[in-house]
Amino acid sequence: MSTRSNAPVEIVVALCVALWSGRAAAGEAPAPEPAGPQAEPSGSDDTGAPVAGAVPEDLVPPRRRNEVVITYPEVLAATEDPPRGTIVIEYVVTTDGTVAEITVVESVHPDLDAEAVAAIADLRFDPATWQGQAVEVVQTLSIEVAPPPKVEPAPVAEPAPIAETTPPEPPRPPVRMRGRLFEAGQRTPIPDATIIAVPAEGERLGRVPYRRRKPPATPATWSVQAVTGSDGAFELRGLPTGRVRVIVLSPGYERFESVLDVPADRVVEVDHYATRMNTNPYRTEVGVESDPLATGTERTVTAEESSKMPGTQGDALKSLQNLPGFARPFFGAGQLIIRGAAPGDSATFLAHHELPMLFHFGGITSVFNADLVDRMEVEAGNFDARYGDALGGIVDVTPRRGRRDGFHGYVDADIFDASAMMEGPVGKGSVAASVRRSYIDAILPAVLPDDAGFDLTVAPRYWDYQASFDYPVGNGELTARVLGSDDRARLVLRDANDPDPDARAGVESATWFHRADLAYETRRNRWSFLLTPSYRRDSQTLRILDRYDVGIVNDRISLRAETTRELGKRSALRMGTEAVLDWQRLDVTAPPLGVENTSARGGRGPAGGASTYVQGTRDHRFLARPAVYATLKWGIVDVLTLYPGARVTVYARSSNAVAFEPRLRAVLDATDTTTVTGAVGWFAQQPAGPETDPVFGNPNLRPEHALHSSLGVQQRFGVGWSVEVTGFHKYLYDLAAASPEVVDDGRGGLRPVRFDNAGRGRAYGGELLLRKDFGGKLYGWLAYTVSRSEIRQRPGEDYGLFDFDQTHILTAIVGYRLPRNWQVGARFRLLSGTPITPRRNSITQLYDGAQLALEGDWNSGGRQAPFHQLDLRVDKTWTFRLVRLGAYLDVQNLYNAKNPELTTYSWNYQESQPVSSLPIIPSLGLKLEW
Amino acid sequence: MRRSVFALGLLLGCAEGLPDPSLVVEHRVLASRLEVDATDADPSVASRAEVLPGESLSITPFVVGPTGVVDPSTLDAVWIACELAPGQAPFACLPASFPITLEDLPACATATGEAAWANPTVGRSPCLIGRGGGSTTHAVVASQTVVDGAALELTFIAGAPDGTPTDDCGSELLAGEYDVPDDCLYGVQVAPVGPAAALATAAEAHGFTAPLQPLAPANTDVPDTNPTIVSVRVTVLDDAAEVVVPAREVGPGETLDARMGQVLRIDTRSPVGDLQPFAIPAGDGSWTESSERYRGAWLSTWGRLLSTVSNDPESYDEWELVPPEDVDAPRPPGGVAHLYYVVRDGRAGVAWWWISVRVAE
Repeated sequence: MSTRSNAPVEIVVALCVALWSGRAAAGEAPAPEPAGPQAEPSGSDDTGAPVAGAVPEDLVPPRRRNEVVITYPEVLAATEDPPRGTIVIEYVVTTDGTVAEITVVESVHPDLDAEAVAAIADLRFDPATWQGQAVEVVQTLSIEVAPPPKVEPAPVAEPAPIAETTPPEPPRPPVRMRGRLFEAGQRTPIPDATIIAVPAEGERLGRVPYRRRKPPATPATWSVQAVTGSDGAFELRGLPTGRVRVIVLSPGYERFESVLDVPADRVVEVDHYATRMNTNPYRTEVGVESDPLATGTERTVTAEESSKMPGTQGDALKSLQNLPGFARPFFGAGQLIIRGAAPGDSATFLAHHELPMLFHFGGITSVFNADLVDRMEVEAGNFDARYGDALGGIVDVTPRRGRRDGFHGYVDADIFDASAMMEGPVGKGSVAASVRRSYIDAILPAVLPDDAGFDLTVAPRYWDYQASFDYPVGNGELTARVLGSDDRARLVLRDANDPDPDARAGVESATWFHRADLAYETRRNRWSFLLTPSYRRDSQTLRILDRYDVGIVNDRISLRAETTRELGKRSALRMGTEAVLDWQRLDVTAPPLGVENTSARGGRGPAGGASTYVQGTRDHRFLARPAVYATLKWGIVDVLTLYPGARVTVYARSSNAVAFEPRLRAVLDATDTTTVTGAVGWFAQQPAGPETDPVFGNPNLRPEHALHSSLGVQQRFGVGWSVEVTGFHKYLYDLAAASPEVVDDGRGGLRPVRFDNAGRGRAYGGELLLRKDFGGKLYGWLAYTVSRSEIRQRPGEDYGLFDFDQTHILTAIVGYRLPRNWQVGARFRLLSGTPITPRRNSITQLYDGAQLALEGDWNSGGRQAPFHQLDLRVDKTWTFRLVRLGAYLDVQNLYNAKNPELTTYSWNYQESQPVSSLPIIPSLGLKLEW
Repeated sequence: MRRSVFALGLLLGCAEGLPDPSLVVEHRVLASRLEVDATDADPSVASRAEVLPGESLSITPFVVGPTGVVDPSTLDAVWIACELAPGQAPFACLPASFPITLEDLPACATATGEAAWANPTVGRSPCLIGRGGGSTTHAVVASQTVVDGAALELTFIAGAPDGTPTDDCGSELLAGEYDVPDDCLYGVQVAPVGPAAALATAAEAHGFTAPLQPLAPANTDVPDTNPTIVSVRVTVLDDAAEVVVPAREVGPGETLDARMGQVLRIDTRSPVGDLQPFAIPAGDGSWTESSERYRGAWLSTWGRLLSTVSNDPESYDEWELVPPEDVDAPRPPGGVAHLYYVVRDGRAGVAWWWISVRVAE
């Protein structure tokens, strides 16, 4: 470096235009610093404005933290014709805020270039961030340099001649290297990545590992750069012969460097594979359009989010149980208890049609593959009018389409099951299919002791499948989908004195469903249409000893047709119709319902014990539930949007009642970051199951009703943080309730009422959700719910705690992405125990020798001790060129807390003790993707 | 056995540590036997357990304690009858009247024969059958509810010997209390009224409306009878399973001699012919044919049982004369241990049998 003079003029370097991956940053462009007349920043495009490009919206460009000065060398200034002009320098702002890969793109004079490079090397930045994580970016800087003014007046410059013709473009240098850039493990092209080649004389050939990535001692004397196209292809032109270092930069991918030799006599052909950062969702998002009438305040869990949640084994629906408003079911089973409502009062829809069951064996894992889910939205109450026949909440699962960027798939195995999935393009469309089967039936018989007391004739096993085919038709998308599930188990009880047990002395269950959907969605101008028919057959079989024999087969045709019209920027109208037709065949043999047989909603069932005298019902029913609905999105002003809606449902061939359900939601964007929501609405649901059976229940039950109201505030902060506070109240009436009454049967005798619509309920509380989005290194949420859920079975009684009441529910989830594709997560839960019904003694059922508990008021015996549990999950992904291997260790109940779940009693109910929750359970899983 | 309980508990999420239900350490009522027109109190003789209006029903409780079987006649017991409506579960009828007192309960009608059809029990359900010894007799009187429901709920209340008085036991239960005295004896029995065809015929003949339920197939509409225990053989084995005393027939209540650590193998036999077919109404006018099956329960006051249940006409159990698990009782009370066996047919039929063993060191 030449000797610096104390020349009075300094050039203050200011960033003018930030180029990233060959495109200008769309974010904040650094403001030019005040500069001397000799140093004026200039943009790299014609206007001096940042170049528009397809830069990710969430890229935050680097912020310069210091200024540097370039001093014009006195020696040069003293020359007769001091050099002047614009030096263009390209460099990389690294993730630690330093500058690397400084390259002089356009030179003015070697000494000036050196001064400029030295100055740039001293720049420090707050690194650029993408989705909350620091990333490297390439920037280009134009520095206009001129000598300090002479003492004598400067000569008047002659106006430059105006060029009359555009000068011919210089000939392009020859291609010396070409190739394609792929995502490692996925083989999908990476577009818009920056490929930079710099000299690498003396460096080792091959991939440059992270530890050897040191900035060169001297600035690169040249560099060549290219940007990958949509197919990942790139060409590097004008590379000199010799050893070069190729640097690959792309947001969301790890920096890749490789040293190659460029021979003089041929073009180098090379493919590079870049590894996706673990902050970047692994899946190629093949989403579907979001609901235009969504309020934006729905609680959403993405498939990626759910797949890494501790304590859920990556299960989609189980992850929802960590959201505010969700209570924890016994033993962490698969029930969705939303805002104190019974599980049967909430509905789960997949692709607009309801699922008959959610979990294998009530809670092991969801019956559908989480990897084929795009997103899950939860409406804990006050859900849209497009959904009905539910008093609690709604879970709306939106499956994704198959990928169209190549054929992909995986095989996955953990301690319960193994699964496989394939997807890929078919013409313009795509297909995706997955299958899963458990192997508990292979393991359990092997580990059970010979004197276990029972034989597993059919050990518990489950399987499920999903397949979808999407194809663009006309202006829309046609989807065909099939899915199904099958759970079976059979055990025969065996006693030490009975080597040949009676086959009837056992328990057998089989639950399955198969479903086929068609869906066509299209948009024309401001109209969009949806038409989706679905057929489903589901079956439940349960045999317990020779006393309970339940067989239910249901054929359902479900049809939904709706149209949405955008009425303006902030307004839209959706109208639709839904028809659900059920052909039910019940073949049930069971004792009359007794006190231990609670109603479907929970709570006390009809009084009495289980009878030795079983009864049966062979009921063939056709039920129809047509409905029409409409919701208007009405943006009254910029900040206030109303969502009035209504639904009319006819419960034909059951109660023949007509339910009118008006609903209103309002969203106020108080500020850019503050949203206030309020809602009120009526909801109806027809009782089902044994409650309406003519033998075991009351076929004359009417629909149950609920009035929901809620008010919430959501505040969004920077870098993905948000907080949401919601208060809610539900009043439930016409609830199907167990009745101990007997009435005149009109023939001079009596008959039991069994169930009537005399029940009332109420639930109220508040929810807090502090959430950090899934995008960055740190993610998670803190969910807290305080609530009370009460029910009154009979008129005149006091309200008592409902079975699913949990006063305090605190769930904290935190995950952190570590380097090298490690990821750790933890979940901690602390919540109130469930209510207890006091039982102190019993009466002997002399007809069968069993004991019938004498009970106090329902749920009046206090609560189980609070539940607390810590779960831990560690994920590691190894990415190879063509495949990716993932492994996880999910440890539930890390410190082996003994949380009481239930109370078990002595034979005469005079003694009791708690039944603890599951102990520490480690689960290991492996997943090979391609 | 313990391992099997543990394994099943592991699967079903149950817990251990509670008292063994098969170990009788306080007084209990294990069963009650219904006999129509009983001519012989010997439980080894099959008798009809299903009653028709106009007939008398003999009710005998089987009350046991840590020192043996309790003579029902020594008890101060109360029986209450209540007419079950169709589909009404047992112990749903009487509690519908709670709170109530024993004094409030009307006495049950005592008419038999044709008179039982002439004076329907309107307003007399629930009613007090009687008070006195544990065994009693109830005259079944017709009503439309009896015709339709075809079952009576019979509630047993008694104070245990030297325990809480029966009045206190009754007042607590009938008040609807759940925290009743621990030593009270409570039981509920269901007395079937039928057979269905005979009941319908008699009902129509006496001006009642026929039951809503259509008649079951004739081959299944036979009276429910009590099973019998025709043979009990006991073999005494030592701890090496060698026979010490060869198998021999023993009678109910017989007292044997054995030594600590020996094993008594008990083989019982109940005739398959004692089991009747029956039909389960399906609600749509059709029926599902089924048949009774044995359910045996084994209990003891001391020692360890190989199993506590048996489900076959010919069944066996092994009774090891060693201190029971988890109980500090190195020797049986008074040096005598008792074994109780109750076998049911899955409906109203029941039979029982017991032996005592003087346990020597």
